[in-house]
Amino acid sequence: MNVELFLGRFHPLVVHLPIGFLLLAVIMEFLSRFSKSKFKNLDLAISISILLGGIGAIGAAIIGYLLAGSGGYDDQTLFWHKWLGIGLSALAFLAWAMKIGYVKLPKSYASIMMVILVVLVSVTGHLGGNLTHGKDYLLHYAPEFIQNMAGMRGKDIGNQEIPQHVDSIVVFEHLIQPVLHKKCGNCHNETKANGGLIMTTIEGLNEGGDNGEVIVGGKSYESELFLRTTLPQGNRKFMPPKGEPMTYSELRILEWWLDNGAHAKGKLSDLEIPDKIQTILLSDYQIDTKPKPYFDIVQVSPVSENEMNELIQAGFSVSPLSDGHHLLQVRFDGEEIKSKQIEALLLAKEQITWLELANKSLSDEMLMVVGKLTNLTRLKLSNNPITNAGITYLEELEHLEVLNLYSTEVTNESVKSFKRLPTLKRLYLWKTNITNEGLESLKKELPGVNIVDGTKIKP
Amino acid sequence: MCHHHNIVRSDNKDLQKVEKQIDRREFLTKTSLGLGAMALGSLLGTEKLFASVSDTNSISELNGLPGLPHFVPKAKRIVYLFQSGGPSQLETFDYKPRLYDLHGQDLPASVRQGQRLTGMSADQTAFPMTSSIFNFKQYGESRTWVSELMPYTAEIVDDLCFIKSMHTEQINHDPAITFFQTGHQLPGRPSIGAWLSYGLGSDNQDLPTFIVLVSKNAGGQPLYARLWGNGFLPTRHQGVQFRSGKDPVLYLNNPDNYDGTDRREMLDYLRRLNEVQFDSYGDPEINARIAQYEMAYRMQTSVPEATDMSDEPDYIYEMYGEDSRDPGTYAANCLLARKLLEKDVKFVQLYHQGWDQHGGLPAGIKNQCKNTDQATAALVKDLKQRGLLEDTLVIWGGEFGRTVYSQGKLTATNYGRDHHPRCFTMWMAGAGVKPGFTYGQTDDFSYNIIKDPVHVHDFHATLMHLCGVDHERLTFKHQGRRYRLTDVHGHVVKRILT
Repeated sequence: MNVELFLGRFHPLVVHLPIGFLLLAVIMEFLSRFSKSKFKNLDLAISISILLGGIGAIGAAIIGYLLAGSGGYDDQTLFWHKWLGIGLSALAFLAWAMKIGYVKLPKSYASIMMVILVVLVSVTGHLGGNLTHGKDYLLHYAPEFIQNMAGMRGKDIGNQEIPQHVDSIVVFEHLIQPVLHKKCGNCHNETKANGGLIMTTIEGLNEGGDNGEVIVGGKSYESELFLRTTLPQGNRKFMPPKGEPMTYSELRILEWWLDNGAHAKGKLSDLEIPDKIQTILLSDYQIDTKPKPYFDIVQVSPVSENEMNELIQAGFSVSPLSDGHHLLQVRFDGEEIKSKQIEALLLAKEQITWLELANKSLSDEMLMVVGKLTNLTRLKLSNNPITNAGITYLEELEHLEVLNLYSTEVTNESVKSFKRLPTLKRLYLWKTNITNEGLESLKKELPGVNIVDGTKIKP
Repeated sequence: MCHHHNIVRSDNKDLQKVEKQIDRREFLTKTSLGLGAMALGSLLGTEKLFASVSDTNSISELNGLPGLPHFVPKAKRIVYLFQSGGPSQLETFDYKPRLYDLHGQDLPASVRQGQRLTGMSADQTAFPMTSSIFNFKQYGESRTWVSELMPYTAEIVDDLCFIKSMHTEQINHDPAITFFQTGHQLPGRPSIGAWLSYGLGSDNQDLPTFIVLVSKNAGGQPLYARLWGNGFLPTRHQGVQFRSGKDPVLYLNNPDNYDGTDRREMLDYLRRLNEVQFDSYGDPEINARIAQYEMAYRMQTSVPEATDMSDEPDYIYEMYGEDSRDPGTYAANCLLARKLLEKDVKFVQLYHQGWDQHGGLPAGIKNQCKNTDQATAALVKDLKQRGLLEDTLVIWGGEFGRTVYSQGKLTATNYGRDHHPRCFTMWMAGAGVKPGFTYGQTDDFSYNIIKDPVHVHDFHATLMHLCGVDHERLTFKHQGRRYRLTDVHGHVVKRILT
């Protein structure tokens, strides 16, 4: 049994007694000033009230001192609370002595004394409140203009907005700190640090608490912060002991941040984001962390109207990827394409990114032109008599993602060319001359590429 | 009047006669009738008064609206395999092992939550929970549960994106299908395909943008042409239904002893007459008619080519199932759909009726799956091997789900299920949706959604998003109000997107 703490915790209860007596004395004092005839008999009551207030203040100060011993309070606030409290007790006795005539001072001094008493009671009480509930407690729900006057806005980390741009999101500051502030900040803040731990700042977390460090960069399962928040809720050590526990998503993000080194300034875009975290970021925070498609990154100038018309004249249908986009999707509309027509594609050498030339009697030589379309990402060449020789022209296409060669005459030879395409994602090879062995080895050598075959055709 | 008359007048005597008639009519309406003429004019031109004007003047251009697509689309084409009648999620994809223990017990009030049932089962004295008579197994790398009724679909689960948490507001067939196809339960709104045709235009000027195929080997709740109607959008955006038979479009062939050489000339004159009419009355329906004549003319060559099945090899028919050799069946329609998609038809909608098993469910749904499972899976596979799944979205689903309790008597081999709008399963595949992925979750009874609900409006919003359309920005002004497919609702289900 801890007698000191047992008694100490009565401080908030006892402290209201002297507050009441002293304020009552002050009220009666002023009443008797304003209407001497009506309240002339109050003097005795005033002196008794001040005396009781003084005694109460001493009692409260003693058990308050016991409570302070338990620690976990902001030192500076505690210092002022303590000494103002002691001063207040002393002053109450002085006021009492004046009232009953032990100390002879001019009458106006009594009024000043009363004002000082009220100020001291208010300030000491407010500091005590801050110690218990945290310094933002009082005005947390105050109207904005009051918070502005109190200088609270702007540094309120709990309401920190997540930046729109993914590149600007700092994992700790925007995703973790607000959660810790909300769910742990009541007991682990700069004014009230239970267990000697401040959880609202990165410095506080790094410093740890009375029992040692709470975060271990790179190791979520050795970090007290993660362990205590993931214990069964019935456990005595589970945090937070009351209020809303951390959610699944919050814990997953905390775990991921810890495992990635728990860096204070680590940006979202600098970290590798696993699928699970990606999903959480999207569903809970509306943050889309999927890598941007090439068409959103590349910058090209628009093709002129003349060039556009020439392309259309050559038999192509041409349209921008979307409204206002400079990149183009192009398809040949005729039955059979001629060398002269395919040359026209060079008019939009940088702008063409999706190209469809399926079933157009395309020859290998024509692919020489296609190979020069630097920003090509999707290329559909299916149902054409093209062979490995044509495919070699495509090796320079360093942004090509989708290549459709279904029903062409390419063989295992072309595998060499496929391997030179650094950004290839999907490759369609149904009905080609590539053998089963060729496909198998290709799948092994290009693990990141989705290689699509099709129905086996019975001979 | 305008210059068209002069051209016509100088050309042909017969036309001059017609021209005179028009003059007389115009004389009467525009002079002697006075105010009445104005009234008549406004009657004839109502759509011009009520509708967005921008659309009324173009005829042959099948391009979409300026400003669209709003962003880079993932899907360029859609094939929507509509399973009409409300396929049971409990017999197909929504595996509920807990029901084996609860089989035959009354549905707890805590699950039903006071839901109002249809008149068909509301008066039952008991609502015995009914586990599926069919076995489930996990398939693919995604370990997706599929019932034994869908062996072919089971093979392609790693290409599919399941939504187990679809829900709707409608509990009866017609309003529910109308809601799914048009975004509103009452008839009169444009269908999904019409909206896409209106917004995005066509990628093939020789075929309709929106084609509808209805299976002949299924009966059940009726379907109406308004399900693929254009509503208040210009008429040319309505779905064109192909017949379920050997000739998908009738009368495309020239009659005997006619070689068709002067048809072009005939159509040109007809067009000029129609243009005269349009200049006088400004009725956009006249333009729609001109466009339809032109489309029909082009379809004389394009449709026989696109629907020619003779070049399909045997292994393709084997893949879609033997039914696919019988024109008009679901399987044949799936194959035809692939051919139309290859020709860049933007929206192909299949309807297969007969999923409404109020009684005799085990036998009924078995037959439904037998007629559709193989061809459905074959279509996905076939699109994939041709590289078309890259930018084609495939959608499978009905208008609502079915109840966990048996409608009618539950016996060892037989039971029925009533309509259930609170949850059902759909799947999508292809362009822009995550393959091998399941979204949403229902409770142990497949009665209520417990995670990630997807409303019909959300489905529409997502579908449009995949086509590069912001569902909030594709609108049409009609009767003084701007309408959208999603009305004032709908959220894109971002988590199913790649």
